[in-house]
Amino acid sequence: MDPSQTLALTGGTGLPRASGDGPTQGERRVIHHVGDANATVSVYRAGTDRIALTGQGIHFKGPSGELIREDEPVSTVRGINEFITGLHLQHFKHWLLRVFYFIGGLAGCACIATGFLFFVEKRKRQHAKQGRGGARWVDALAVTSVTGMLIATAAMLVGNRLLPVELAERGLWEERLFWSAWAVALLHALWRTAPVRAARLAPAWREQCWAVVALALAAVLLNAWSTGDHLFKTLSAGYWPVAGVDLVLLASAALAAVAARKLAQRERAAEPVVQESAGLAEVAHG
Amino acid sequence: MVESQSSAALWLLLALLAAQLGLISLALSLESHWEQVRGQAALPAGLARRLRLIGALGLGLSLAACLQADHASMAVLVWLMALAAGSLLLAGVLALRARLLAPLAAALSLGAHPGRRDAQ
Repeated sequence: MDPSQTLALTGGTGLPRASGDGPTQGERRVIHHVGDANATVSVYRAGTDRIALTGQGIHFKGPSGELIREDEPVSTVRGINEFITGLHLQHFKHWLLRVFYFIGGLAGCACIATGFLFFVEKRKRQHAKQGRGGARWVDALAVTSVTGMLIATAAMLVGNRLLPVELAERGLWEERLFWSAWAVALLHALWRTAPVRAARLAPAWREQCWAVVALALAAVLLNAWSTGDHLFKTLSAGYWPVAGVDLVLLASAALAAVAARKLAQRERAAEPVVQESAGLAEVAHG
Repeated sequence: MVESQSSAALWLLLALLAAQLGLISLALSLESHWEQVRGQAALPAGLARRLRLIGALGLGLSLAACLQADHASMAVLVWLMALAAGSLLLAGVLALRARLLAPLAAALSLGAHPGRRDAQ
């Protein structure tokens, strides 16, 4: 029997691929006009084993299993387009690459946060001397995008556990909660970055770090309370999607607590110097 | 399937190690990083060339191992990300605990002709 017939009759695997480059990790089958004399069967590459979002379909007549056609190999431009689309959609299944994407995401966040900090630290003394508010506004935006984003995310997770299940458009309310929490974080940041005008550390950073600690812990506890999927259970059962979120939340809470304590130490260390001999301290710090 | 997955995992592990070793060797071939790790010990030109060569071989081996594990379009991305993650780790180690690399630097310079340190 012709291999393509085997496929049509059994819906089987192992058919010759259009590009002939080995077995795939999975396939997607589409049947048109089921039960009709004109039924056709199309088999597409699942594409989880490569970056490019490629279909590479192969099409058969339903009743006879006769090969109708194979999709043409894509042009170079189309291929590059598919590769870049695939890079963003990340439909591929690759454990190491997922870890790398996670690391890359964290590194990207660190880039943005340190960029903000350098910008503010470089200018705040100069701006304080000139009586300008620029550094203060940027610091407020930095607080909102670094800790404020964490607050908004954790608030959404908390809302996900607290909003009643029968609430209409529950997803929309979670979304609203996210944006409102972020807006509150922005207002708080605008208010509590005032000391930057005097070239001092903004208390907004420390206070929002504590808010992150509280919300992240609340999200973990509320999940355990409302679903019963606490860490002891999810870890022992290897239920990684839920255990992973809980672990990352706990790690974030711990990091935020450490950051808040360090910031408090720094604020205390800076305080007396500024009060006793502000002029000298400015000179000493350059 | 399981067998091919675990062999892919071994290739990827090899790719990570080779990339890290290559990056370390390339970093050590630069005077400033060499000083961070080895202090006053000189970096003769011959040794720097050797370190660059080992570095290039390490990165090449890493790419080859990635290609063994995955389809080429996937392997190239995994390799680039391995280089990025490896550089990040190396940058952290050089900034905070450069001396941790001293034994490795000593091993890489085994038998190298001890050059004279240029007068400051």
